Amino acid sequence: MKVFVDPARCRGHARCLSIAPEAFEFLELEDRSEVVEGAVDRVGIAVLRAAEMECPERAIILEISEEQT
Amino acid sequence: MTTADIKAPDPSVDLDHHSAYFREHNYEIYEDLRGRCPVAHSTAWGGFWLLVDYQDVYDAGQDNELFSSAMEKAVPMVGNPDPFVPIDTDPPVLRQYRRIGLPWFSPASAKALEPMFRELATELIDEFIEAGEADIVGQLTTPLPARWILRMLGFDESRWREWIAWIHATVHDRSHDPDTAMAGVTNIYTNITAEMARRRADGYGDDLLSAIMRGEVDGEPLRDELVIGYAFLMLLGGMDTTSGLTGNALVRLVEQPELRRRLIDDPGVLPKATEEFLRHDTPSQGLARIITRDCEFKGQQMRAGDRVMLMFAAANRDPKVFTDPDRIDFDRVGNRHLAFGAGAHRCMGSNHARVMFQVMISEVLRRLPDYTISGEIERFEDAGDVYAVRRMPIRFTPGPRSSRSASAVDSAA
Repeated sequence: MKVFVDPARCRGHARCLSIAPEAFEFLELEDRSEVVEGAVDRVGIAVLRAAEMECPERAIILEISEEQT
Repeated sequence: MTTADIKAPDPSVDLDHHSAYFREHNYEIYEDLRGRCPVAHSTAWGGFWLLVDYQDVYDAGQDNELFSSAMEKAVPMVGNPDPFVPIDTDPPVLRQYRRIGLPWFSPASAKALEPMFRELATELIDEFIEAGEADIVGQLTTPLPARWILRMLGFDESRWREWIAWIHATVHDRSHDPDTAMAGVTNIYTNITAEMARRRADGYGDDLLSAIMRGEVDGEPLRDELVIGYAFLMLLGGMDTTSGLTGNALVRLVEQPELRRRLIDDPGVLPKATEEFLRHDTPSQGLARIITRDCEFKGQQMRAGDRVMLMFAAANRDPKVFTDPDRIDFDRVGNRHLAFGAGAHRCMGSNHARVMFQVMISEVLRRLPDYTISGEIERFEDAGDVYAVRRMPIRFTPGPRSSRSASAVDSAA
């Protein structure tokens, strides 16, 4: 599975940081979040999906391969 | 069938979002408009459009080329001669203005300030905890954010009552008492100007006003008028909306005791509850944009220069996006509310607003968990910009002052 934050969509709401602080980091002057390395292993798919579902800008992209769904 | 084949409804509505009727019936009005005319046009205030559907509000917030934030957008128009940066600007320069303030408003800086917010809340609650009664809005939710933003700007926070009076006049009196509003604006301009002069004379400090004065856009420092506008905007955002959110939520916790019980029994739900109160009891009802070219939007003909209100509060109750939208549900999944806007103008203070709200709610529930409303709740008469409680008299079982602040008093003596 791959997860990333679309830099063109993210507007720095930081909802993902509140839901999964171990999976995201915030770039202050860019005003946006990024996924940290190994996020999937750290927090698991369910937490990342929760973050994705709360993002007002729909900036979190989850690409889930078939065997994981 | 294409969208052009669908006949758009007559958009004309009789609606003034600054009226008392709107304040009392705002969510009914939104629901009515959504049903018959989601892109509506009001003749009030020289005419303006209202967007109430989630998708429309969201789309308009993303399209800064068509829905501009140039300063002529406000409904009614504001008398200030210079734009308030960053809110009255569009990308790409918007980004440069925001960068000046962003380090002060990051998620990390909000988190680092939590102990300070809690100390402030403790001090404020200590002042009335033994009495068993208070105006919780006047004595907690108003002064806490006000003192924080004054402290951050490097202003004298002991004067918070004066600043609050000017800010409240600016926001809540501008539609029905422009003279009072203008007097508030004048006082704010004068006092910010004095603070700037003080920094020029004594040197810059580690405060937000100094940062704005030293900030640059396109390699140039900001003109004084823009510095004043920036600081003014920080005061507007800092002083009014967070108190509004907290007051609105404290009312709900009386109306729906099961919500209070849940927060007391399960404090871990507070972050989700915060998002749900932001959605359900959105303080900033809407913000304006101005149309840059003649266009068709959702079947309606808009013209260059038309003003449009993006009603965030209405979007947050759109049943197409939120199941059972009028219900407060802390377990709601997929709460993509727009209380802080969306797009390039996302509220800069959102991280601090959340932390301050959570500190105030948790301290109230820890120290006066049985509070009840003991008199009439007074709302600001004009809810068109910020829907908020002005005064909320409460009664509760008296409690002791905190030992922490008692020892601080001892050591000072």
